[in-house]
Amino acid sequence: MRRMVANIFWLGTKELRAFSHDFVLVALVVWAFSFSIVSIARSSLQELHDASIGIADEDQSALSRRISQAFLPPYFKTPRPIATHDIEGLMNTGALTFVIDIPPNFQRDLVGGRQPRLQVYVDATAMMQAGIGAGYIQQIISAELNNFLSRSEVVPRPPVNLDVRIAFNPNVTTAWFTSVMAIINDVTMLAVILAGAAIVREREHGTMDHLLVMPLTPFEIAMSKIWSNALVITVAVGLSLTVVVRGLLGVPIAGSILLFLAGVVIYLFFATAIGIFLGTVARSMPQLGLLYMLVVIPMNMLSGSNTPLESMPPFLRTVMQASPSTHFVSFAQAILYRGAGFDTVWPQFLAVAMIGGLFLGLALLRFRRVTAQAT
Amino acid sequence: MVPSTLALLLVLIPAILMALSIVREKELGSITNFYVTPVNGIEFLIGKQLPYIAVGLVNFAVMLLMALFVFRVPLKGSFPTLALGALLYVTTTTGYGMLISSFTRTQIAALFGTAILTFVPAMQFSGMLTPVSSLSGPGAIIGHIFPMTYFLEISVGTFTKRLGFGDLRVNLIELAIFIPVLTLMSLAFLRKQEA
Repeated sequence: MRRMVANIFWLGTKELRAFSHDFVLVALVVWAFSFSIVSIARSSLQELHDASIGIADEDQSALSRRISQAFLPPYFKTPRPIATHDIEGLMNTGALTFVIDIPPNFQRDLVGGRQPRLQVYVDATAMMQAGIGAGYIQQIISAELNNFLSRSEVVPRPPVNLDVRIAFNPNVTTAWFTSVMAIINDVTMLAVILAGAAIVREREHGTMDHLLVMPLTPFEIAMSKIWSNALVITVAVGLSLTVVVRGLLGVPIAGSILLFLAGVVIYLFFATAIGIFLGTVARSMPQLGLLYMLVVIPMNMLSGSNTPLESMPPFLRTVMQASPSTHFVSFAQAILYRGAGFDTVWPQFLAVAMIGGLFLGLALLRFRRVTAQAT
Repeated sequence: MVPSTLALLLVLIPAILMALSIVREKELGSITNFYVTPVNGIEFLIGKQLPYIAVGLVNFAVMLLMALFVFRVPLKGSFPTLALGALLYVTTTTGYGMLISSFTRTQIAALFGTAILTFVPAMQFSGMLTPVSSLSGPGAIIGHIFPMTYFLEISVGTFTKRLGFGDLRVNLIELAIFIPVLTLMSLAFLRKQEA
């Protein structure tokens, strides 16, 4: 037993040495956990920001000018006055995401109570913005219209006053969300690649045979790769979270970072196990690259880190419960944003550990079989 | 979503395959064979690139058929424009992989490098979810120098907006500019390593 632990330990240090000698790889890991995260957080991805809007003002009245002036940065760019016949061209090229067409005699008809029609064009290929932006535009225009009408006539007060309180992220800053989710996506990507490539590399170079003629079991070889790669990633996540996310980006972290890192370690056992599994399936690095994309893209995109799980079709939601990345995202959000303690997140920890253990077993089984064939 | 996924996969797959194919030769040492032959750098790079452009185009054809017949997304605009765009785009994305391969030495670094350097810009900064014009800070810069931004407009434009060659001429030219730039940059990096 002691001998096994020692073997695993020393083999792992070999992995760490190989990692630290590859300067480009180290640089890329640093880049992934620093600049890449900052660029995602600082780019205002999911909120309405600088949306391009054009206004075809055929009315040229006081009211139509007030409406044009109501679209303000940072949500909208300064509205661009355009002619009606340009609308289609500008929407086609994607130069404008929103266009408001104010018909002739709009103000006169409104005051006269003739219910004029105001047309809003939305480019739905700008997926994130189309929905949010249309809502904003509706609110802005109806506020302006209410304002305008309330001076000429009495507008009935709404029967209910809505009192909205936003919990955990009062200003709905997306950087708080995107930065942490970027780290999570990086963890999955890196863990699978490092572990998978560590196996494929040994096979391609033929050094796997060297390991096998030594008095080592496949279990020891696999475990050494798991602990060393998991260590590298855990350190990267810890640094990234404290230095980049909390320090540089100023995102407040509600819960315990240590508890989160404990969760990361559990998750890494699973993700590296997947890497090893893929490493035994692939016979060369290009094969691993393709397999990797088949596995990691859905794991990242459907885990709830990009869109909430609740808005997916029920079938997909059930399937994704089997992926630990879903539970990882859910406990990460609970700990980091809502300050949850161990008593809240232990079911997710357990789920990740169980699925991870299962996968690790499968990977080891396969690893044993493949290496047995090789000898 | 289907037209943008087409653009996403046509950057990920060709770039990763291309990057690995060159770094593989470096790591396994077979690149020395080329050093002793009278093949020069540019011949080597283009010779390596051509098969992967072909693979990328097959990839494009399969995905196009899937879009039309499995997902039933009609192609409203001009097919020749989309096809020409795809050809330029695949040439550009293999060039992107080539550039990454020219400064990495191991396959792990090339695989991870291509993954991180294409996945993040492709998903976040190329207009797939948010228009590039609304990005700010570093994301906006990355968005403007990443080839997928330009092909995404071609793909989405021809599929959903019924656009033709005239509307997308600028995008095609912009994509074409990437090709010599990427090739020359890869060549410069490759030269430095030979020395």
